[in-house]
Amino acid sequence: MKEQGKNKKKTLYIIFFVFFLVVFCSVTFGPIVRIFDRNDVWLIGMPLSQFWILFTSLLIALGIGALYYIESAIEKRRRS
Amino acid sequence: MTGSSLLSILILVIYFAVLTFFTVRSARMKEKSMEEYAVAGRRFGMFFVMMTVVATLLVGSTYTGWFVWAGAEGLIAHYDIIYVAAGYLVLYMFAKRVWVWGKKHNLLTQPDFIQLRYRSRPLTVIFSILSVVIEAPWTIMEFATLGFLAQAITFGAIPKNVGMIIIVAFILFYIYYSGMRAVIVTDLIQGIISSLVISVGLVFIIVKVFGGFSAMYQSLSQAAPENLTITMDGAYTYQYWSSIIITGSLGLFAWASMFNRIYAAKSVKTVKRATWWGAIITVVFSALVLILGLGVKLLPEAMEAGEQAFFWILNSVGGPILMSLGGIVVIAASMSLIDSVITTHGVIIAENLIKYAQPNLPSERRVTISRIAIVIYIVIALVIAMLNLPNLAHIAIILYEGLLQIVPVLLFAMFWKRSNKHAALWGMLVGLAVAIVLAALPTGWEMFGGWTPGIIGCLINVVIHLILGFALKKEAHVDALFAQIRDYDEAEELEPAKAK
Repeated sequence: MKEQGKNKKKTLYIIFFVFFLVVFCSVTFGPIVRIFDRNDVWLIGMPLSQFWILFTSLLIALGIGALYYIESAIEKRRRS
Repeated sequence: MTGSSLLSILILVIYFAVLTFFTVRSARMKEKSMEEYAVAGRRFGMFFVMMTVVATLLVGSTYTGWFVWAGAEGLIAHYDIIYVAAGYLVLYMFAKRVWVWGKKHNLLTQPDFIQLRYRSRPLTVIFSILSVVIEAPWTIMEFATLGFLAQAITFGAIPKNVGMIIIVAFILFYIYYSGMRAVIVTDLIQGIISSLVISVGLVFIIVKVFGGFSAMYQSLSQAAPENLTITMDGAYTYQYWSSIIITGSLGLFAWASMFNRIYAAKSVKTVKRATWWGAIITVVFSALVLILGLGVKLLPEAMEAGEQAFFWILNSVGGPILMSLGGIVVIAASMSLIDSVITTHGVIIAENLIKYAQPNLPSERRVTISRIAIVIYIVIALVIAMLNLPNLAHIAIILYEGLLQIVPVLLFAMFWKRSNKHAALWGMLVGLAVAIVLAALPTGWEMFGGWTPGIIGCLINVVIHLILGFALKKEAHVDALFAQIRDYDEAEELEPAKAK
């Protein structure tokens, strides 16, 4: 059971590693940032460039929350 | 002295009185030991840890330098929002290793962590000296900022140097009194006040001054459309944008005080939970501040006020009361950074430098040495801050590029068993030399197409570390250390009774 929980966590870490990498690169890697760095396209009342900065930052923060809760759920299930 | 000055001074006095009350009431040390002074006995819960990290990441310069930078050059200054989010991710990654090794081996400082992992006195001593030397100019600059803030929010009634001495003396009072425990308690109060003022005040200001968020962006797209692009229509490169985000997010963990915040938590879960809540709060608050900063471009008088633009807006919207409240938020932000850095430096001097020369010093004696070191450190920093050295900011920026060289050492120490003391030492020293030389050269910042000297130094640092890591034998004690992490059961923290 303990081993199974550890494997689940490993899979979880890999999924989230890819998720965070994609989000982080989308806002730091020049060729991708260029796509979103637009002040002529507007979304929810702000230019796309601003929207992208806020959206990716929140995605990172919420991603940490999701990681924490899924990790905790795996731990709890393993104990029960 | 005008009525506005008196009102501001009164609000400041009330604020310091509240902090003093809670410090004396809630931050008393449980015992005179180094563990208590340096890491507050490792007893703090999620809310305290979250607030202390939030208070540290929302620094004073967000409201001064970065605020007016957003006004002058637009979205480039919003790198701050991304780097703090990414910084929390790094904190999440580090949490388990730093806390578990800290708890099991009674680590009190970041250099202690290096000593545990590499078992090399020379490396630990160099690491300790670098931490203190590289971070010290930032403390001195924050001292000067505090003086400038006191002068600004009291409409000049309190001169800069007098304001600086008063606020720094207050910081000295509470960190001398109970070290990290006082830092965390005051950070909590400062964090609550700042959160209230920022969340309510800034939305109110944006609506009142610009007619709302959307209206502000619309006006800005007419007046300065280039400010709504990340590169300011080509004035900056994307490499520079990437560099400052990476440098910022990784550099956060080179600050020695960040480790003490993790050590001070009562469990790994505490740190992880604090991390995710802290990330949300910090992202939202930094965004609010910097979005308002963008709007400064539309207010010529605020632009003229330079680094006082934030106060100019507060004063024009809400008069001296709102300005004083805003001033307290900025002072609180500066204090939260300074207090933990100074406390940590005092502990590093006692634990990692003096204790090496005199290993048998009892814990109580080391607390006293830490306190004396803190007093001397503060007096020297105050004198330098009052000298108004013209090159201090330049020196601090150059040294920050060096600070980044600590990061590969920490990352490899935590995640790579083959990392060894030679790889850590030589990688760090060569990376440091490259970063500082490039940063000091007038052409060094453009030489690599916008990649900053810190990033170039870091790349060289990583390459040397990898080469020496693969070339030399794995150190014998490492497997046992990593086994402690592997075998640590976070579930026991959830339900300690059941786990027993």
